[in-house]
Amino acid sequence: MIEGIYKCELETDVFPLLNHAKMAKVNDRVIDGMKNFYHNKPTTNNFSRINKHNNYRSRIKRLYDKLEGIRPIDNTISDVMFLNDEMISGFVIRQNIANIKQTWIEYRLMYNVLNLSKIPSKIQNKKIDFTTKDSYVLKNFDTLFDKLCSQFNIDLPEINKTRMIKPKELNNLEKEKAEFQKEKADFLKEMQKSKEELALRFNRLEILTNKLKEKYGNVID
Amino acid sequence: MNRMGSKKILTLVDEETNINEYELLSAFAIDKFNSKYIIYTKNEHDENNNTIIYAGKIKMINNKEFLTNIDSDVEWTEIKRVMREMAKYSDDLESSELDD
Repeated sequence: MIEGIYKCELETDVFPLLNHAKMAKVNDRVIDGMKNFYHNKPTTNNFSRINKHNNYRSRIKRLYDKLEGIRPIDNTISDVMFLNDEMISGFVIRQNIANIKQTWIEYRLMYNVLNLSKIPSKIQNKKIDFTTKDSYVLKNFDTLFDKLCSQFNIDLPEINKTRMIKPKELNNLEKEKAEFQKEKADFLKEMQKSKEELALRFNRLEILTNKLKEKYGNVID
Repeated sequence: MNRMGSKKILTLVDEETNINEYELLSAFAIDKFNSKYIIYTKNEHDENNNTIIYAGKIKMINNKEFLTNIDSDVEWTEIKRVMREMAKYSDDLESSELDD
């Protein structure tokens, strides 16, 4: 659509010609465009928004076909940015081809798209097991460690020292535990003894009190 | 309409009653001038392989349509501009879009 210009269908194909017509010389592009405009032929340069995407793709494809024999300056793809569904690639061009800058841009876009298809599409994610498992090593550390030391004749004095300390400390702990138990038993014994004595005294006191009550109870009354 | 394949043929009768057939390239109306125009060709080429085209204005005289010359320079300038715009509808990749 050209602003202010509307295609019109002719009611007749025969016209009387008055005077002469205006003459001009145009290239094939203009001829082509005029025919397309008049016949409403869908073209790759149709500015309709609906066809915009397809027009670009078909234009790129034809451009690529035409430039098949020409290689870009470098064959590497670098500085590729993905913006939504588009790819933009950075590149450097020489001054002498600045006049076909657009061609190079589009060629490289096409080149990148073609190379992208070679990248493997999916990498399967391994299922990650988050459950905790007992460590065999930790469980059997001492055995394994001994085995390792004896197998390779490894002498680790510091570790051995630590390992010596551990049973010693364990022994002490056992001793203390035993002593504690003994003390506890003694204490409980003492407690029981005291309890019994106390009970005895209480009994005696009760008896005395009752006797006194008997003796002097009548007097008070 | 007389068509030869995808071509539309226009028959023009000049003042000497000579009948000539041309290929119709385009027909359009320009709002600004409230007029209709036709562009046609006999597919003749010059030494540079450019195609010679003709542009005429449709005029109603006594309820009949005539094709007349474009006398106004303003109109002719506008028609040339329209033709350049139409070039963008070309399938040819060497379009003006690449000549930024």
